[in-house]
Amino acid sequence: MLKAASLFYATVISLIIAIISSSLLLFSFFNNQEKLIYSNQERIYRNVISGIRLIMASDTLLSEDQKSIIDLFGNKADSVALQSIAWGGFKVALSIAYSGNKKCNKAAIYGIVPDTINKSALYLVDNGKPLTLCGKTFIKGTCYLPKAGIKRGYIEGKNFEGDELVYGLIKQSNKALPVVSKKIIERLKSVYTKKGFQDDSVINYTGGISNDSLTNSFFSKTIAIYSHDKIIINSGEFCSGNIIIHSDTEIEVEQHCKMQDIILTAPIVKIKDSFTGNIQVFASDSICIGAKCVLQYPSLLTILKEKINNSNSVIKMEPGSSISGNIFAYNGMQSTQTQVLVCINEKDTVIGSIYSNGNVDLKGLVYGNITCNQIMLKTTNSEYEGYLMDATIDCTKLSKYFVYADLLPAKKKSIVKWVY
Amino acid sequence: MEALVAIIVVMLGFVMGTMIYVNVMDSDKGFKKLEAASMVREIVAQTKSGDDFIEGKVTKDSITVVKSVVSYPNVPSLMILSVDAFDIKGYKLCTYNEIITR
Repeated sequence: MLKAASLFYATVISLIIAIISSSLLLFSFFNNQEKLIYSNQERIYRNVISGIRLIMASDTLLSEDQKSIIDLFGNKADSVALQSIAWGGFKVALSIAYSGNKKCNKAAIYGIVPDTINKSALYLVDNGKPLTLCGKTFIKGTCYLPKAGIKRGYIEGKNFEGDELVYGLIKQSNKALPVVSKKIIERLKSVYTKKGFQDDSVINYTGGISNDSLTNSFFSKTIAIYSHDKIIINSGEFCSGNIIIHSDTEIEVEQHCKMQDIILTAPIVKIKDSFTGNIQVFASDSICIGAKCVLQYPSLLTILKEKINNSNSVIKMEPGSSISGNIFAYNGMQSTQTQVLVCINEKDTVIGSIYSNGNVDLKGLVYGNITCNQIMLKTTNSEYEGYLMDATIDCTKLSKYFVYADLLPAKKKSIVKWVY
Repeated sequence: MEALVAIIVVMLGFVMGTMIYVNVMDSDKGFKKLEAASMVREIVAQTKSGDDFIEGKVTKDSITVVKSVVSYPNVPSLMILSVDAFDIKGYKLCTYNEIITR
């Protein structure tokens, strides 16, 4: 039997109702808060991506290396901080979006989408001589060739063994290569002169990279590791991100060191056998890639010859190596005495493009495009101008999503990779 | 007397509780907003995948979705895609703005 304490029971029931009601209120409040936070996050992420697209589409809206605050939709609610910085042959788009105390940032390396000439298999300057094919040479894709055309040949005991000379269209080339703009050459020059370091954090190299590993975000100042003497990057060392390693004499990269997105600049750069990584190399004298190296996408090998000396500047790949990216050899001296040479050996693979305003000696595979002044063939016995032997050029095997370094004029730009 | 007060207290508690419950349920347009967000996402995906850059208006289950595509000022290769969703009373349920490539 219940005692007559109805007021006590009523208070308890009211208390329970109050607790349930306030729980309901709190649940509704937090639920709304959570939805608001989620939709806000989604909006600032969208704004960051919109910012990256804006950087890639507009060269005039943003001044290079300067941070700009842009009101994306003109409603004063969606502002982003945008910056485009040159990163070797590529560019890096930095986008930061804010909303209250929330912040979202993204960085992307971007380059150019190949168009007409870059999409072809071969562009050989019209210097009055025909292109001669020998052995198992295979060319697939549109070719821009001299007026003298293309023919079968016989050298080193080898006849041309294919059915057709070119599996694709043949168009006539001009007497000059597609022009590389002065702005791009100046940008490349600034990479391998110390002038480019003036705004960076410069570390003097003294025998090794501290703690064996160094990573740096593209939102931070560039770390420039500098030495007047030879730099040896030892096995086991790890460098990633916004880092430039510069030597006034030579850089040597050992087999087991790991590198990602960094830039190496020196007159001579040597990559030891079996190295695997993703690097941009800038040299004025020579680049030697050892045997069985794998230079991952997006890598770039650049020779920029600016001084007259007696030797040719060479990019040389030992047999069994591969590069996914671009090879760029540029002689700025307009001198015929010394030239730039790109040398691709047997069993080497280039996925991407080769641009040389000097010579290209091709014995391996190119899945992409070659644009050059002259093709030459060096054998143990002799040297032949305008000859290809046992080489393969196939631009149809290049992925449609492949993005080149920002070195030649192109209308469309695209993201190469997301970085941090 | 005690019983009377107790009845009033319990009744007041129930009334207030019911009012809170009704108001919370009524004020929360969560389900409608989720439905609107889903419709907006679907229209954005269709626009991007089909290159359908034509302005339009769609009404479904008392939600009206308005899509507009305008050129980005001074950048001809870009466009601003805006999609807004409204309920039957014209209350904005969801809004979506993005810069897209032509």
